[in-house]
Amino acid sequence: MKKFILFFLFILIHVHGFAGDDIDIPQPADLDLVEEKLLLDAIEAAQEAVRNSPEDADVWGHLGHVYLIHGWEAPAVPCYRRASLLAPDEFKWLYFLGRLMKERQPEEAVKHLTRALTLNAEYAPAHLYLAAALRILGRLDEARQHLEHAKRLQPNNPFSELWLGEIALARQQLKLARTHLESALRLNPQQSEAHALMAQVTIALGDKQAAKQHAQAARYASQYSELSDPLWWDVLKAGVTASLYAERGRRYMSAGDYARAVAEFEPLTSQVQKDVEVWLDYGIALLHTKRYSEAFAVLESVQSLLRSDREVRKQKKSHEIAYLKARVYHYIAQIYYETQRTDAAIHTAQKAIRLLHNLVKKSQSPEGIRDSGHSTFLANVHANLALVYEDAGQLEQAIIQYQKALDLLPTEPSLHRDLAGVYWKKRRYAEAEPHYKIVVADDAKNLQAIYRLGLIFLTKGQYVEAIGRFEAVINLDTEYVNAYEALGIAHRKRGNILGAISAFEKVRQLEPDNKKALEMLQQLHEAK
Amino acid sequence: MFTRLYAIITQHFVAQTFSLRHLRAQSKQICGVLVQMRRASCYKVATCVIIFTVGIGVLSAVQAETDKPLFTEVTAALGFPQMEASWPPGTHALPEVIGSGVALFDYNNDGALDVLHIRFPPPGKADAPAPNQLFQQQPDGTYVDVTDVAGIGHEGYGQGVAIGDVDNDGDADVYVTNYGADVFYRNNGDGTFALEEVGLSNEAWGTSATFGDYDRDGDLDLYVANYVQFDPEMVCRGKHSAPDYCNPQVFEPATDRLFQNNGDGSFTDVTEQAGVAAMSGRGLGVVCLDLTGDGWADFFVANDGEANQLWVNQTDGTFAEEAILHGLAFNAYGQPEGSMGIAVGDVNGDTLPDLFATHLSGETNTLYIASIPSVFTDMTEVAGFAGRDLRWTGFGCGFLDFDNDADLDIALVNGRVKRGEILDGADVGEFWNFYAEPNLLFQNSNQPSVSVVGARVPRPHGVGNPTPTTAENRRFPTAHFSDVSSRAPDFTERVEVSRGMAFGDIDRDGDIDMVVSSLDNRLRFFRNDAPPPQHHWLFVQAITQNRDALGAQVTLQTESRTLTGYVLPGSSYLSSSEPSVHFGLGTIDAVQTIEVRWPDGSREKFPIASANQRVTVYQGKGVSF
Repeated sequence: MKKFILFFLFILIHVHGFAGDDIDIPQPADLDLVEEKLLLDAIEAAQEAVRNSPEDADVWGHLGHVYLIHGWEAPAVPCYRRASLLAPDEFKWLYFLGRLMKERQPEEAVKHLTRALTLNAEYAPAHLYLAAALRILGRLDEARQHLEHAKRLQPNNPFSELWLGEIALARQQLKLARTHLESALRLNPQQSEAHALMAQVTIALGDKQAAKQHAQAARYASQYSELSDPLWWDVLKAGVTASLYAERGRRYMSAGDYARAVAEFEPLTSQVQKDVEVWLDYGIALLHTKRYSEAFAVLESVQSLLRSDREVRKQKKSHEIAYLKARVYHYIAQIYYETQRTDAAIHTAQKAIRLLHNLVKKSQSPEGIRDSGHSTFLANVHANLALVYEDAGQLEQAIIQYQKALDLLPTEPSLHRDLAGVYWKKRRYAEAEPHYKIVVADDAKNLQAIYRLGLIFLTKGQYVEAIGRFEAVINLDTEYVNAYEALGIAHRKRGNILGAISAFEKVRQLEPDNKKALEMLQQLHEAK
Repeated sequence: MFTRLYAIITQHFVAQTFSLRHLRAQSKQICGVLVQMRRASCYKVATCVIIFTVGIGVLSAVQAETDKPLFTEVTAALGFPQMEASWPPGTHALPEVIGSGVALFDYNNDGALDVLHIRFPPPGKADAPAPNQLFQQQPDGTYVDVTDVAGIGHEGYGQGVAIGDVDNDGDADVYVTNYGADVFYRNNGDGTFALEEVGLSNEAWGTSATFGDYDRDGDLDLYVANYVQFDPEMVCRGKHSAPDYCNPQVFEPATDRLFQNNGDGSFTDVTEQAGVAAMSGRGLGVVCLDLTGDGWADFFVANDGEANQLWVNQTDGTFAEEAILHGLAFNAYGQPEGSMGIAVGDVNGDTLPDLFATHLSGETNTLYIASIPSVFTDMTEVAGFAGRDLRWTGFGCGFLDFDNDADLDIALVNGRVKRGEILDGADVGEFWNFYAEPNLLFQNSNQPSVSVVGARVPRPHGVGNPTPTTAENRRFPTAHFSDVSSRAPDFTERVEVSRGMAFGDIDRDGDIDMVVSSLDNRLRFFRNDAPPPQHHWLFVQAITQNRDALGAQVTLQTESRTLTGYVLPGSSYLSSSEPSVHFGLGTIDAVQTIEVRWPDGSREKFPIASANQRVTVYQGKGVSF
């Protein structure tokens, strides 16, 4: 009995002791260095929520997000761990925990991510991060399996192919590595990582020429280097510093959601007065939401900072300033265009072109600046200027601008399409023909391009080729009346009266009141 | 009663206290318990206990050997001054976190390794004098500061050091890089140095530098890696908006310099005409060695946060940058890393040089294995240490066979460049604790990794490269490493901000010792206590033109193994190591020949009588082949 009472007291003391304990909330060690009140408030709020609801996984997870997004990884770990214990069936806490521990403790990361995938096996980034952790541990076979799985889930994600290629390369399976890397480059031709590995693979396979080309491409930064990870938005949204608002704004922009981007940038305008990139993005977002006057004001202020602000000019290299100025001119030109001020649009776009032209020239010199984006952007500016000219009826000028754009991006199909369109308007069919051929080679379902190619052949008397194109159009769209009409004419010119009758019958069937078709049919029957 | 006995016995396992004194005490306790038992079963139990005790004794002996620290800090015993005041807090100026190097070399040709410590002023006092210090080893193994006598105490903002005999007069000259103008000291041969202007003018922020004879004309040329065009007024902030050290990408890179020795003790800056100016990088580490297998010295530059550079010798005085083509620019993912220190050695026994580069936290320290001559593949993850070192920011590093078992192990020192969590044991001041990290030691398991397809590539007998294979699924051996940091607590348990690192047999006992420089201008020395007595060794000093043959490849042929090393003092980070080549031989006690491929491409064999000695071989005295 005495023992029982002692045991009971022991339990009581311990239970009371636990109940009376403060919640052990992880703290960043250098919090006292933080000056930004917004951030301090966010941390305090997240911690307070934990104190109020210590059994709520979401508040622990949110505290983890706040720490993680502001650069404190160590205190985020126990927060996610607690969240995953409180909600063991919740995928995201295990996922974040595993993702965060990938580099700190890869064995632990493997454990957490594996468990997360038992809860949601369809989340491709979890497979990719698990593969990365397995690779760190040298478990390449398992990593490969998860990469294959991720590839099935997200066929357009070049990282699966890239990492599969890397594993093959590590095993010296060179041809397999090349296959994977070629796939990665098809998905993103500007991915420098894939080019770098391809250089190694091709030189090992004895193709030094290809290796050199890939090595050259690898010197330029990738157009993007992040995994697509929708859950990361949850973390990003916990950010309260100016740079994180800006990052969110940019992500919304790249997703085409300009209204949300504007909402993210707006609070920044009072905080980041000298951050020209943020201001520029804000201006672009305003432009895309058709708030032209505000966009114009913002872009003008960016131009002013770039022109005369000593602090800004000191922080940027001269070619960076030139590139930013060119971008500002380009977007201002767009505003002029949208607000029907054609002359101003042309004049401003030409300013952008002059700046970009110099940058491209520099980047092509041996010691040039390393940025492949300049020539692409210059091509865009030329194409936009062409559009302005085209709308203004200055078709010769439009042709010149499209040609300049094509000099920079010779394989871009949309430029060929637009240039062919202008030639078409000018009735310069022979010049339009090669461009339409390129368009069709790129997109075999482009009805207009195929149809126009058919008409060009028709005018040249190449009836068989013309008939082939019109039939291709009809195969894609059985109600394309103009194609039937043109097909009928082609057959008639070729002396195939029955074929012509058949085509015009189809026109009449689709458009019973089509007088031209009736007349043609009458003539054809008489000639039969 | 049995419960108590059980508790006593299990203490051995739980506490793992296997000292004999403790064992005796425990045995007494057991006996006491047995006496009290007074049962027939007592004898059975006693028998069990005796067997157990004998077993424990055997285990104790084995454990004692395993528990012996692999390295022991001997800084104070060597007579080096102890730091008294703590290092002042940083001001977030980038040069404060770059650190400085240390050189182990024999400046007075007395056969003992001396120490040159490159130093820099404390944070916020860039103009305060911080003279470099030269310590001479005494006959009893301790060190004495001879800076003033030697006249080598330059007071610049010291960074790196390169050691080489530029005038082939048989003594080592010294080049010191600075955040500011670099300096060159010519060794007068009488224990003193003379600060000289010899055409080695580098006003940029120099970091690592290395001597090597790239033009094969018999004298040493110099490559200086330069870092960035630093702007002291730039203020950078971390993700949580608090000030921190800038990323180097914030600043323009500085162009490296290449100086050609004119043969008369002076140099000409050939950076432009050699083609090295064509591509600037943020260089922190550099080595000079033939990495492409053509017999001509190349330069590999470890760049911070961007592609590394491999300047491939075109044999006509010019270089072409081909790091991407040779697989040394990026990591396995095709991404650039923040490269700092470099180690070079043949870790897999195929006679080809492999490379190791230290990196930022979140990036692996990367092991590049030469899969075929001149093509390297990042085999870090296969080698087994990627999961151990991703957390840390590595700087000084080296391949060393610390246990003399005939394969190359890895030691590296760490310390952040961005504020992070404070780790247990950090005690380098309130400010620097955020940057402090422990060091690491990895042991080569001497077994090719299983994840490489197939067997080893057949290697032709003698010095030379394996027959290249171009077929699909080529096969080559890599190496596998185990983290043995816990077995070298003096070296790895101290949580500090370490940077430079040099290697050499300081106590001349046949193994490699280490010296580490820290961000607070502190040196720490670690004596190697790892090799078991049955492991043999050999040091080879290769001499050409009356000086160390920097860049030479030395290969030992034994009955069962071929071991390859390089005369490469200029590696690691900002530092210079003993120029002799060390070979651990394991239980091999007989070496058949030493083969040397000299920097001019010629090859010679030298006979060798026995292991466990320091051997000097001279170019022209061997048998050409």
